[in-house]
Amino acid sequence: MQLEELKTEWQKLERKVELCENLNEKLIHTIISGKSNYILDQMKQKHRALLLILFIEIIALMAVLLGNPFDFRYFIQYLPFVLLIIIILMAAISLFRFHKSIITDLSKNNLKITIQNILNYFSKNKVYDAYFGSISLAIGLLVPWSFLPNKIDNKGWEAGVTDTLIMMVITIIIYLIAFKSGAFKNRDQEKLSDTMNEWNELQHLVHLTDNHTEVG
Amino acid sequence: MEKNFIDIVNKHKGLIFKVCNMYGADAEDRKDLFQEILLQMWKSFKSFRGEASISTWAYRIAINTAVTYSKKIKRNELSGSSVMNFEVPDLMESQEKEERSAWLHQAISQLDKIEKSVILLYLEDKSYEEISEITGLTRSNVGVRINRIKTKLSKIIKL
Repeated sequence: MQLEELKTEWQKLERKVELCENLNEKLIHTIISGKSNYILDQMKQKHRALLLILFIEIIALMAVLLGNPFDFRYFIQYLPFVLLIIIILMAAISLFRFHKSIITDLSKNNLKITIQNILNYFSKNKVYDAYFGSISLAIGLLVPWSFLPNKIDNKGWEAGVTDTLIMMVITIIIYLIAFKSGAFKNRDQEKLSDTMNEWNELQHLVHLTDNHTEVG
Repeated sequence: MEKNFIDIVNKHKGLIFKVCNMYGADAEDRKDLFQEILLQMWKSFKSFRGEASISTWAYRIAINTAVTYSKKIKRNELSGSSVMNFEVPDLMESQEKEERSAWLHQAISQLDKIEKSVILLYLEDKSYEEISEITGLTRSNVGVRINRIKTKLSKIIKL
């Protein structure tokens, strides 16, 4: 069978389409008011959740700075909180810019550019996943230092420093246990590996397309 | 605006069904893909200014969605009974007197994602320029691709 014969067969499908009823308004309305499964839409939804968490963290840290609920007496005690606010703010601004730069309109680009854009977005997104893990760890490691002066005043140098180090070690242990037990994978674990597979699949397609373009 | 959109969807339902049939492995896949294509069309429709023809616009969204859509992510169940009851027609369903369409489906299913998009547009009688505009392949590469698909399909048929 030649390609033209295949075309004739294909055109017969049009008759089947004509027999299909029109899609009703209710069905279309229900579908368009649903949630998208498109990978970049999923990424943007995750960004919105991360931005909300970062915003809550900034509010909580600001509350500590302004309200002094832990009776800090020295400026240095505020320093870890100030540093954390700066780090989180920078991460949030950067994430927000990246989030805004993601174009999810699938009519804007042809197939090749769409695939390449998705690959670029995924490559950039890896950085933000790393940011988020680092911020969580930084909070656990920096905050105990703020309480050191009070501990020194109350328990003395040795006990104060030991206590702070123990808290930091506990933080690292909790972080490692959580990491090993898959707590950081949480709900996104499955999605992430699926996306990675999809990503690899798309990358393979891009290589194929590029190779063919070179040959062509 | 919604009324216009519904008209456009119904005018192009054939192409959406064909893309879903081309890329969807089973009824559930076809339905999932159909929902995603419609959603993406709606999102894009709001900013559609007529830069491309409505047909090119619809093909672009349908094909871009089909190729990049992650079908492994389970779609949240939609409460609407209209969606639950809806099924994308199996255009290539085999019936005794329609063995050709089953054969067509079998041959096409063995092509890769990019090849499927090229052959779909070719079978839909799109010009090389239009195929190039939708897929991003150069015009000359479209010709090369079609010839390769032709050879590949011939091999599939002989098997």
